[in-house]
This record gives sequence, C-alpha cells and structure tokens, in this order.
Amino acid sequence: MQSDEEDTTLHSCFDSLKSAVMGCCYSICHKENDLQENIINERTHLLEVPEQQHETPAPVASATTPPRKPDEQSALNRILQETATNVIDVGALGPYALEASAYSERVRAYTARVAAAPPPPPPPPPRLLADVPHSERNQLLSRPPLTYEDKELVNLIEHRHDFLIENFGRYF
Amino acid sequence: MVDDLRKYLNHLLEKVNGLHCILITDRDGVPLVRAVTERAPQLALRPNFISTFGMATDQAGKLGLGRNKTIISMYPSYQVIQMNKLPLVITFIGSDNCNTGHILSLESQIEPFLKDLAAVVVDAP
Repeated sequence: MQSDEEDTTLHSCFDSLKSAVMGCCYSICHKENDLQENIINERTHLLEVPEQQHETPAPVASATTPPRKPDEQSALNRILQETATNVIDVGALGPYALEASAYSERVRAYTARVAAAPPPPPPPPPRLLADVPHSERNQLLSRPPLTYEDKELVNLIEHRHDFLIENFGRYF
Repeated sequence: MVDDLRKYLNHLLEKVNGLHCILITDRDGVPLVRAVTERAPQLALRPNFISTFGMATDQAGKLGLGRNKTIISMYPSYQVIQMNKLPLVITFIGSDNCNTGHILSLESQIEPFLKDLAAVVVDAP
C-alpha cells in the first residue's frame, strides 16, 4: 500500500518536472529512483557531470532574484535593440501603403514646396565624349558607309605608316 | 524649379534608348518630379510598388557589405533600377534590353539636383 502511494507521488513529481523542463530526458529525471545507479551501463556518463548543470535555469524576472543594476539592464536592452535592428526578417515587413488622404496631402505639400524652391543649378558641363540623342544617333548611323576607294586609301596609308615605323632605324 | 528639372529629366530620357521613365520620389513613393513616356508600365509607377524599395534597401544593408546603394530588378519585359538617395529614391524603368550601365551613369547627372529636393522632403510635415 505504502509503496503504491510512493509510486504515485514520485510519478506526479516526475510529470511536473517533465512539464517544467522541456526536452529533459526522462532517464535523467528518473536517475534518483534508479536502483542500478551505480552500475556502469550504456547510459552512464563517461565524464562526471556536476549536478548543477541539470538544474533548470531560474527565470529572469523571478521574485527572489535581486533587481539588476541599471547599467547592466540598459546594456542588455541596448544589445537586444541592436540585435533586433540587425535581424533580417523580410516576412515580418508586410505590404506598406500610404493612405489616400495622406498621399494626396503629401503630394500637395511637395508640389508647393518644389515650386517655391530656387531654380536648379545648371546641368553639368558636357563631357569630352558627349553622348548624342537617340534621333541624332540614328541619323548618323543611317548614313551611307565609306566607299571602297576610301577604304583602300586608308589601308594603303596605314600600310606605309607601319613600314616607315618598322624601318625607321635603317633609313634615318 | 519643377519645370526645369522635368525638362532636364526628359532630355536624359531621350539620351538612353529604351528608358521609359525617371521618377524622383520620397521613400514612401510620393513623387516630387517625374518624367514618364507612354511606354512606362502604370503598375510600376504606383507608390506601393516604389515604396517596397525603401524596405528592401534597409534589409539589404544588413548583409554585412555596407549600405545598399542600388537595386536592379529584371523582369521579362522591363528593368527597374532604384537608387538609394534617402530621403529620396530615384527610380528608372526601362525595357529589358535597355543598356543598364547607361542608366546607372545617369546618377552623376541627376546628383546635383538632389540636394534641394531632399530639403523639400525633410522640411515637409
């Protein structure tokens, strides 16, 4: 009879422990009750683990814990804030759109302010190799190509030029 | 100021073959100046399309490579290039075969005008 009561008490204790400590292995909870605790088997730890590691971590805001120092608390808050800022959470962003009234009001404000703004600075000076507009470019590219005689003349000049450069030392 | 700037943006539009529009907006997609041709897709001109860049550039800046400057998005028929000039955002929309490098080179030509426009956005309520 007494053994039955002990069993039920122990089981209720184990159940509460299991619910309190998520992921806690039943064998560890059962350790105190294990009659073959001192026998070396496949569940025995190779290294001796101190008992403190099995304890559940105390909750941060428990009543018994003394209040943290303000600087420590602020440092923790800062770290938390920095971490939250650095996290890339695209899923949490969601769609964003201005309300129609706010949008039109802002458009009106910008239009009025831009109209009152000073004239823009002159456009930057043209570059050395200035680009030409599309229409002008098409006009240039649609012109007839060089004639065959012109190409031959250019090739002849280039050939003579190369010959002169190669034999510069021989003649001069 | 707006008319001069719009004229200048239209001049830039003509220079790049396949570029459909140039928008200068705030980060919520509210336009300040825009130069748009009839070929520009109307959906991409909406503020809720443009404002996604503000969030995307913030997130892209957290990848450990420094501040994100430009995001280029390629679609089957269009390309969208958005530049981070916060509090302003410059959006270029062009055809898919438009010269992307040519669009990027327009940044330096628009840059001198942004200071005054940024002041407009900052001072607005």
